[in-house]
Amino acid sequence: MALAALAAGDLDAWQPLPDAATADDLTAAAPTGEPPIAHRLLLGQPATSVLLPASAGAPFGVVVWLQHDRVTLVETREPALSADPMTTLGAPELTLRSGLAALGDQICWPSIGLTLHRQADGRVLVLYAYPPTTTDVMRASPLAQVSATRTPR
Amino acid sequence: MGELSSATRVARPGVRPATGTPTRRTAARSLTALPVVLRSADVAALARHGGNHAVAAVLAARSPVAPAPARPNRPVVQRTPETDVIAALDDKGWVFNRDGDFTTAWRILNGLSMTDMLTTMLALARAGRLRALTDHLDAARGLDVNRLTVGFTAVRLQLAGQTDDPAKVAALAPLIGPIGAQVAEVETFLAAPRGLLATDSRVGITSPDAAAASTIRSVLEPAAAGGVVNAAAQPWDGAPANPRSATNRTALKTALTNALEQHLRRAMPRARQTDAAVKAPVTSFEGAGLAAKQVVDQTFSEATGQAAVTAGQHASQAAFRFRAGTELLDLTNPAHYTPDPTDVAGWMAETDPAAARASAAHHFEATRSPEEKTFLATEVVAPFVAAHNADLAIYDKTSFAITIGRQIRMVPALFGDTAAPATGGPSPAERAARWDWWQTLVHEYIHTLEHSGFSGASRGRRVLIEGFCELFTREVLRAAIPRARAGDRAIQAQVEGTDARGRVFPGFSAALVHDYSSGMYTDYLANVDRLVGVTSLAAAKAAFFQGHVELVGLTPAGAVAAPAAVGTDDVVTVPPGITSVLGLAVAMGSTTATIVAANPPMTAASVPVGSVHVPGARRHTVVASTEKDVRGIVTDTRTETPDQIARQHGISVEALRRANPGLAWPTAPVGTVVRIPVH
Repeated sequence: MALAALAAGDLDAWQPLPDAATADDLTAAAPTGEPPIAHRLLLGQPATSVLLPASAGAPFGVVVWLQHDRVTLVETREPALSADPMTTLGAPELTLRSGLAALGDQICWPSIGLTLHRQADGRVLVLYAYPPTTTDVMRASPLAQVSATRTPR
Repeated sequence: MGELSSATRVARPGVRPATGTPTRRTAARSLTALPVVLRSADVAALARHGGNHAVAAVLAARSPVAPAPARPNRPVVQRTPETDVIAALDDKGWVFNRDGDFTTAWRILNGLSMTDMLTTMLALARAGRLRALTDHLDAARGLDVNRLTVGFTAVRLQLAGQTDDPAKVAALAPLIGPIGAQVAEVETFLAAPRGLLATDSRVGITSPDAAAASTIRSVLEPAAAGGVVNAAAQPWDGAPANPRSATNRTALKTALTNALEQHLRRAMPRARQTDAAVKAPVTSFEGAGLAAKQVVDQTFSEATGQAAVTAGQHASQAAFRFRAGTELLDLTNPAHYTPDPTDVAGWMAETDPAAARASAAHHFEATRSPEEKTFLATEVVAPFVAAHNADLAIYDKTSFAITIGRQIRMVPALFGDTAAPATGGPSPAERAARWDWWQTLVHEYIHTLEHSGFSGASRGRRVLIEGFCELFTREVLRAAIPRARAGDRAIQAQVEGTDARGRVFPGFSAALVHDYSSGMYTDYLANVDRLVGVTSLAAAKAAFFQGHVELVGLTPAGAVAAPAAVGTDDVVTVPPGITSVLGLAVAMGSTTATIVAANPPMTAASVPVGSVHVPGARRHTVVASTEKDVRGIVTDTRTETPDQIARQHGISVEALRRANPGLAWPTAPVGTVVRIPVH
């Protein structure tokens, strides 16, 4: 359900990720995914990624990250959301500075496992979905610290 | 191994003994009289008696270019590294290499794995050919002379039957450090117990005292990290509470906008040139990534190999490579990146020196309050983006490397001569780009080796994350750049690729390999150099690669630790069950006289209790590595083992156990303070 909602960009139909979805569950839910890529690093930790195809709500596809055979993160770059997430999901449970947008922020709904990084002009740069947690856990989490480094060349 | 790997190898069990020593005559006249499979000794004997031409004739007759039909009992020439070395030693010219081609011989050995090199050297020594080679060590110039020296020194120990003599083996110690994880192969060759050859990576480390702690604290403060900060923490002069708020806001907006205009005006010519430049496929930089990994691993494999890491972390470190499409993306490819004028304008406002000066003059910090952030976003950046949207998009996608985690969005633009050379290989422009990225990817690869203990203590502070990473980047590149410029074929083959026969392309120039520069990390590096100045480089390595942040004065949570009292690094608690100074001395590898002298009014008859100075001893705090998911939930943990601790300090596990009786190995909990005996 969560993947279908992301593919459609419809957060109104959002169902949180289950807490212990496995690679088999992922294959069953999204059989069109590309072969898994092992030995990647997600926030400095070992992980496997699976790229799901582009769709209306996810024009650059959906990247599903697994750690210890559990889906821990689903990432959608520049999602095309069908409605303003604030309208769909209500006020964010947590707002933090974004490390991905110099003047943006990250708005989080940890209880349903969603975080959006927004640019100052309101564009959503990335959507992260993860198994539900608390605001305190999310505030201190590695995911909340994700950041981009811009190096002049 | 490049072109050297063309030698055909046959598994040793298949080697048949020679049936006799061929004479010069028989060797020259009758190839069919040779044994079915030639050993190195056979070839050497053939060369001695029949000369190089006889060897060449045999090899030519068995050339893989024109394979002879298989027949029963037909001679098969077995080329092995030792036959290749011997052929090189016997390749004597009239003018050059009159005593043999020692350079080629060394190059063959240099290209072998440590185990193969040791085995080959042993065979050469037994054939009486190693001495002549080592007498011409100067011919190995430009190769890894230290590693080669380890090899023939180990072989001599083996042949002399001195591998169980700790003093003789210890003579290898000064050479061992730089060869990293290959130490294990040397130990296996010598049949030496693990740990016997480990170097002490903690030499010279002392616990940070009060003065050191003060320096460390200053390094971690933003003001010391090179940024322009509002040191007096004065409020923004554009805040509503300021009676001149409106005037000050207008002045700041004007100053910032002017700074951004100037910045963009300076940057656009280069950005447009890059935008129009030919782009190389990102896949062509994967080799530079492999070369970066290789030179880093050669330097730090000993440190990382002694670290506690989970099985998953170990596997991902070993398998890590920069792959196009996952770790390497093209910033100019819309499928990989969407230009973001707002983001680059925000970055300019934060980092441009003129903008930073204007902000400081108005005590303005965009990250301090929502009010200041909103001012910058709506009053400065938004109008600037509206006026320069197209240029900012070009500037954004052509002028940066953008890294998120271990994913690098790069600009694969090529400048200069992009014509493919007639001799094959990459164009001069692509060559230059690959060497440039090799240096960048050294830095990026070192990030992947950061221990989770260091990550926990760094708490996202860039001065630690980037400063430490650049500290080790500098160490690697200062050694690797001269090697690359000297024509190190292993590095060159990976960065530039090889032809179909595994040979590097002609036309390499040392000028392709730039001098080392810390670039934008200069300020971070300067601060970390200050930290290293009051601790040590060894401490920094232990912190970054092994998670021993206590050695650089930090707690596991990243706070500055309470300073240690001066002169207490050799204080250890008396192990349980030890009731005499003699017993303590034996456990700690010390002497009664030394301990008594260091602990007045202790006498040899005293019963040592509590904490005691044992000169030359030290303490070790057990650390662990944790794997966490994105929420920070621990999914796996690996605590340091006695073997890892012993190797870090260059002692044997037996000595470690003797100094720590009663300790519940291998499950000593994190934070346990372990005694390290005198060594």
